[in-house]
Amino acid sequence: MDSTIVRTRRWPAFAAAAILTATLGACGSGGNSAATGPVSMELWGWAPAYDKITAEWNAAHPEAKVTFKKVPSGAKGGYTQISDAITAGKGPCLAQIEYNVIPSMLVKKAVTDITEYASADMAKFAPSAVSAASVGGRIYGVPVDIGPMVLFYRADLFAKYGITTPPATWDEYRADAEKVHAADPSVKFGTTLGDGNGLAAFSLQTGQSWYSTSGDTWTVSIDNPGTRKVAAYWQDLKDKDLLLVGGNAWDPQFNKAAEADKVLSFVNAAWASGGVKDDLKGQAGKWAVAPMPTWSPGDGKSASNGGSATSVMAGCANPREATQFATFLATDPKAVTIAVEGGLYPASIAGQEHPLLAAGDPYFGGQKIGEVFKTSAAQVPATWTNGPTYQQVETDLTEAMGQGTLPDAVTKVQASTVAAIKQLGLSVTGG
Amino acid sequence: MSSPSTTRTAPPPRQATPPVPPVGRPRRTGRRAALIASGFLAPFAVLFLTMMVAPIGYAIYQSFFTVRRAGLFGGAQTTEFTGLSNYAAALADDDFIASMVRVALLGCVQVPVMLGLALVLALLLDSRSARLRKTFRLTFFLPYALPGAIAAVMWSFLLVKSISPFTGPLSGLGIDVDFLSPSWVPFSIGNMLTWGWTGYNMLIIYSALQTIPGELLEAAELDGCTGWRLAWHVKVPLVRPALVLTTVFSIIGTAQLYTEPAVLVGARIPGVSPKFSPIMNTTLSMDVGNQNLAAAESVVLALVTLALSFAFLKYNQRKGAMA
Repeated sequence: MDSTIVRTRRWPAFAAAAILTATLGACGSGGNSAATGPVSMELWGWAPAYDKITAEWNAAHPEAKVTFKKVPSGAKGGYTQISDAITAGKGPCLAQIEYNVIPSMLVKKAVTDITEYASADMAKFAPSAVSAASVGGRIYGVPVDIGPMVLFYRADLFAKYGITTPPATWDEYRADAEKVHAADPSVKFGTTLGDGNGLAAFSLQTGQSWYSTSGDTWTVSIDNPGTRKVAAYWQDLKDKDLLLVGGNAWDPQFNKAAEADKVLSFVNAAWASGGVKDDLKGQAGKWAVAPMPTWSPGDGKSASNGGSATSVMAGCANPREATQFATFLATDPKAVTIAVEGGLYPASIAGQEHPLLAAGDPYFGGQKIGEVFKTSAAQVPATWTNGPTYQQVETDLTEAMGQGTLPDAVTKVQASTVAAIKQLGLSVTGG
Repeated sequence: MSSPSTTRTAPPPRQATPPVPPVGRPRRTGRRAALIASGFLAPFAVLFLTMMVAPIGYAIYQSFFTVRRAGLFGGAQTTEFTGLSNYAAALADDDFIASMVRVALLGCVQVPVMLGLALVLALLLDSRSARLRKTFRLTFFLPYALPGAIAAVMWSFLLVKSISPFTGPLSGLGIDVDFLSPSWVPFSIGNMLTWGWTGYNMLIIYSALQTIPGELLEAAELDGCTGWRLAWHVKVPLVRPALVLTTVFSIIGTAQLYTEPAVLVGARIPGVSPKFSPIMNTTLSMDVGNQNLAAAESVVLALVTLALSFAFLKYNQRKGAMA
């Protein structure tokens, strides 16, 4: 009797101890130690090529091991995962960060200034990418890829509907869309503009910016003449039923329409080429790429959408080694080959001359799509400033564009962005 | 359970009242028993304190502070005690309030429909003339076995206009609907919830039906009360506690709505707001870097849920006492 009681008394103590050990053990595994021996770092991102590039680096650099962890893409929660992990002191040393997110990551104190380690290598990159990865002259990431915008179109269907040359201006784009609609109302010329990133990219083409700064104060100008023009244009095309509603290129809805020859084109960044090739394998040779249509004929203005840098994150004990890895990822010839094969358009000047890009792409009927991308990249206006509340703007715009009209969304999000920046405790005006 | 008629006519002996613990235990063993009991409770207590009480306490604590920033990017950030200012901000946020109202309206329609359906299915399974009882029970329960996110993905494919198998035939009949347009979304989400949770609630109600003493039903039947009248006048009042329980679970579940709208937003369906439910708003406050506001919003949501559940329980207790 007594012995059973002793046993029963010991058991809970043991259980409690075991649970405590397990809990404490789980808490203690994070952090980066600044050891003198081989260092080990984590890279969090979602680009498919990063995992192979990390393997290349590890084979050549046993002294600094990098582990790649795939997280959901930024817009689907990746950034929250990264910044929460950093707040909890268990963040990665390196992360994939899109250029337009860098300021909001800086407000969250999640990215670190790597100017002293990275400035020497910045001459290797397209100047627009370097400025996109910098804030106030300080560097917060090594540029990996950029997203010059182009028009992807079905050459066979353009011929079928009597469109001899791809539209060079937005007026021609509208005329072509009406022509297709007149021939068959169930066939759509393009896709609707449905998210904040897209609206930002089209606004950039008009030479406007959504933000500016003077001193320590932000000025929000989402509701500007350029953005209003873009919003009215795409709303009009949507109202006339000329566009495939909802779903970006490579979303299931788009793929289904494309397979049924019900959609002729979409406007998006260079990296969308990878998605088309993967999702529409059966349409090899049918797709082609043309420059993004412009507002006035031959005004030489394109836009960019997305593209990302590798940032060194707050709390990283080895920022020098981390920056070396980030530079390798963006510039090493083998790494660039893997990235280009994965559909990324490199930010590095040498990378843009990559043989794979200079050669004709069999999927695009042997077209040298790299040249279209390169021309577009050179024509991106250098007027844009990114704001401090990326997630809020993207979410608010996507919501407002889904629930109402585009012009209404622009006015609504102008106000909600000013409020959100104020809520963060930063100084802001809504001019 | 496969032969319910015999179970009903010859019920196993049931205890009408729970066993009363013997009173006046000797003090000597009392202390020892207390020690043993605390030993058994310790694992639960440790987990409960670290995984439930501590995070809730931390959220409440966080909700009273605000991060002060300076310059364009926050500069040197300081955290200050600001009392209820985060609560004021949460209650002044139109999107947050709108999401609470939206989810409350959704619950007002969806919960009664779902529980009504669950009750009817449970009564049918329990009725004497039911055939293939086990097969149907499993079939009704099956949707619950599917993880919520997977079910939502499946439904999103069934509802998206261009690929839905329903919209085509409906437009052939002259009815042109887009189940994922802003005005239809609450109904589509209600449909997903009903599909996923009816079986679960049915099982709880069905278990309660199984515990109804056989002699009671036999007496009712001898008095000529059969079929639907037996179900409505005898069975339903007796499973009332199970109905109250499932209602409270459903209120809490609806207040915490997240998976279904989040999956639809992730699928880039324009009609679904990324701020559909209160939890989605809270998550967004986190995304922007405002943990303190997110904490305040969480506390508000928890309090509202608690108040609703408690009010419903109290109302039923009073009603039960009057009956």
